[in-house]
Amino acid sequence: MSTVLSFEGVHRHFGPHQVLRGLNLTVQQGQIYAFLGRNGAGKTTALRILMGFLAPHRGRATVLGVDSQALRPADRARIGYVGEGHLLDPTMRVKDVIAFERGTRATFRLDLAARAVQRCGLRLGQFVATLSRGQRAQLSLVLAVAAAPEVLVFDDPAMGLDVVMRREFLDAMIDLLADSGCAVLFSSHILTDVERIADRVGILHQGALLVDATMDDLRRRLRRCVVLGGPEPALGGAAQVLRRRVRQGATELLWLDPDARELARFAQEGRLQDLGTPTLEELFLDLTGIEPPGLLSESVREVARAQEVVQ
Amino acid sequence: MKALLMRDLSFAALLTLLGTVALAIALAQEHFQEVWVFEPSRLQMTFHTAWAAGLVLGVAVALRDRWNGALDYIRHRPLSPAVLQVGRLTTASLVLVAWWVLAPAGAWLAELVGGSLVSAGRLDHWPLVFASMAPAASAAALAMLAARLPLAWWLRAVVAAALLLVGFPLCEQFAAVGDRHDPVVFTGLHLGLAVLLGAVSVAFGHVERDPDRSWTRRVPAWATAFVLAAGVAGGTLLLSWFGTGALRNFAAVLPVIGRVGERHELLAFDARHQGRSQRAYILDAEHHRTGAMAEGEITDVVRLERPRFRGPELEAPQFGPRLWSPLRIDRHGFANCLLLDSDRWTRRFHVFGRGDRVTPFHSGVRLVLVGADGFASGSESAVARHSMVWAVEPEAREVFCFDPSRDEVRAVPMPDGQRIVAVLEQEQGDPPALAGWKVPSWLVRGETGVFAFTRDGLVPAEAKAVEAAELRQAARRERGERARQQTIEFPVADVLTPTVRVLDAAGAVRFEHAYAPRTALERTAYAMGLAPSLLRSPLLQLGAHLLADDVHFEVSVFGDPVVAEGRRSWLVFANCVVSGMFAAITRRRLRRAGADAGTLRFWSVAVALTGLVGALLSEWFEASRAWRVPEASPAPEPRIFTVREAG
Repeated sequence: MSTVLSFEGVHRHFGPHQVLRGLNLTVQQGQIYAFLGRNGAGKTTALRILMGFLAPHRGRATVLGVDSQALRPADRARIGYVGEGHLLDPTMRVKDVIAFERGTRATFRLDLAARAVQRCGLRLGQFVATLSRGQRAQLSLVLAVAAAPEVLVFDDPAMGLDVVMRREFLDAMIDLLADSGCAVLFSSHILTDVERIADRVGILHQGALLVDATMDDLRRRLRRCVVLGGPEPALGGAAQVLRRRVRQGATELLWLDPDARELARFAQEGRLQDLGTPTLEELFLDLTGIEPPGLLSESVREVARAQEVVQ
Repeated sequence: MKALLMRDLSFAALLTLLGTVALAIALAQEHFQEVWVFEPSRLQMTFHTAWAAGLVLGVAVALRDRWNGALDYIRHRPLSPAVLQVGRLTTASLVLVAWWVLAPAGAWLAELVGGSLVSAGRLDHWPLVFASMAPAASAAALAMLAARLPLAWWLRAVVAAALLLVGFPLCEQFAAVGDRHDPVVFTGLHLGLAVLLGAVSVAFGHVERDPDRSWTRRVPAWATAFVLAAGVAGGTLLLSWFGTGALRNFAAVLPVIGRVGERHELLAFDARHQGRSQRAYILDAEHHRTGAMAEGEITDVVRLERPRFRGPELEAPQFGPRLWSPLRIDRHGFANCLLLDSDRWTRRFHVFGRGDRVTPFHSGVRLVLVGADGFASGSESAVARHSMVWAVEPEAREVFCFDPSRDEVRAVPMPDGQRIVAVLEQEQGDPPALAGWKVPSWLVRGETGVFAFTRDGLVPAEAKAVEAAELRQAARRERGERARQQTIEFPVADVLTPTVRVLDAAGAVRFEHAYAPRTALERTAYAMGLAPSLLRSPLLQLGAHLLADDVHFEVSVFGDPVVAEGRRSWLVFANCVVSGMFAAITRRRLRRAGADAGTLRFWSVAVALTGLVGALLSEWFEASRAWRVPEASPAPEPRIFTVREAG
């Protein structure tokens, strides 16, 4: 599969604040890549660099093999983009937006857009300003997809949508993308949605990727367990503890590449309880959550107690 | 492009409506006859409304997508930034064309419906009206350029103000013909300025503001140089104002100095009046101290004050029931109409001469106003509250009488068909309605007699009145002769230390004085007058220093009057040294910030040529932050990574 999107050692700072610290990422053809991160992690900055709206201080981003800072109109015609908040011109009607899109994109499929708009229940005479957030998101998606792009970039497409609208939006996205072979890079905070549709996940934290893996890999390689008593069991091989967390007097461990047989043995010995594969949300929290002492003062005492126990 | 224009249609329609209403109101405020009947000069209210509306139009069109939050959506269209900017310029142009057509048409139609002067209006004035509205185009382009600049908002406002303060006066200056403007040149210059600014804005089309990256590297060098030049010109203008203030302070401690005007009158360059010449006296330095007249001192050559009517107002004549009478241009070329003066809520009879709006009466023509009490006074333009109005033309064999009570203009032949030789002014004492005031009255001298203006027409003047007028005329003539006998020279025509020499008819020096700072106060003011010259652009200063120019304050504001015509070379040299220091400081700052060699070269040369203003602009345009790149720590490897399939 060929690479359609890439970040190659991208650095970007705003004043003294380093937002991206050598971001490396690639998205291959037909892949749906979810770009995750906490607020301020640099997702929007990365996507704006990818679209050529912002320039990196080091490194480069490419789209369809073209440097994002040198995208020509013909290149942009092959890229669909929905920005944060689905901001369209509020003074235009739905039909004007569609006409404008058609007038500026030669590949825009009016029939597809008309059908999609009808399916979404949008009225053509309605002003964009009067559309609900969900309707605007749907319209943005329709506009982006109806131009038959080779790459789609969404910046938090489900932001502000309620559960129903989010589900509607995702279903529409899945339907529209079905069989298109289009590569998708999207950022999101809704991790359950990501689990549903993403092929690969990147978790951005403090300007660099903590995770860049397929969903299958994450499910296969990660395990959560609770130490029930005694010293923390040591797993051999390539296993490593990604996160150690003390809650309510018990130590929770997140293992990467643990040996399943060893885990089963420790569980049988009653030294730990295997909690199974973590959800994406649990993984995200474990990797990017607030470090001890955390938001609650109790955590400080728990950490101190846990350290005493270990000693 | 078509899609862009279609998208902007409703927005453009809104702007067209708002601008048309504003300009139509401005045109209506100018009064119909001023715009459409008499040859208009620049219509001031329309002019000011037009450029203000143009600025609003430019800002609205340029920032519309940003305000709507749709900037990224628009930027992602498969259209180049240049095409997007050209689309915006086209939208603004269409709105401007609509303004130029609809606003005058609206003002005309409003008069057609509600007024009665439309029959006298001339449609061929439309180009002149258009000229007054042309600055809307340059102002709109200026605003669009300023809005596109990748600078902080306040700095964009500064550049816009500089462009406005420099560009507009230059257009005025090049289009000026005497005290008026050539409408074709004026329009051409403003449209040319609009095209230039629009083209520059296209060069900035692809650059968005990013405080962490230098924008000067992302646009062509000529575009940076253009914005820099605009900023330097604006800064030089400010320095010039500051410098004029300093010179004024110095001039205020010196006696007033003067020269001979075109009409052999003495003119004073009084810096306290912004360098404009005005009639005044020449006094010796001692006079300033003692108040006593010195030998050769010239006084009482030209009087400043003119006779002014300051007495109680005469009762307004009754003009009849109509508040508006149709403006009629009679067979003699004069026109009159009865207007309602809405400011004072009084009726007023206006007479318009055969000239244009600015000078309704040709040179030499006297307008004699006869009040309700039969008292005649002189005027040069319009009249009000007089029962009869006479127009007297030199060399003519008839005078023209406008009679408001009859609402007609008629030619009255001079008695015996004699030619008019002169109009005499006499000082009469205390007419009944003006107890305690002396006001002049007017007589007309023919080849064989002197006549007074009365309700009944021209009547022979009383001998006593003629004698008084003759005496007054003789006194005037004597003063004029005295003025003509004197020749004033400026052997050293320096704005700060001039030498004035007055020669009599025989060429003998009757008065000579070298003005120079002698007291502590004068020396302090002198030093302060020189100080701004150390901060000016050496390039412009060198131009003023090397090129011959007129003296004093008439030197262009961009040059430096203090060093004009080769004076004070040491000051020019000192300024070059100071500017070199500024350039070195700028270069050091940028080098420390990490600027590349090209940028260092550009700003070193630019600041050396433009001095303090250039240095300040380099600080704002090329902030250190834009070059500072924090140390890049090596990117950590992902803790969980799935190897990709080979592509």
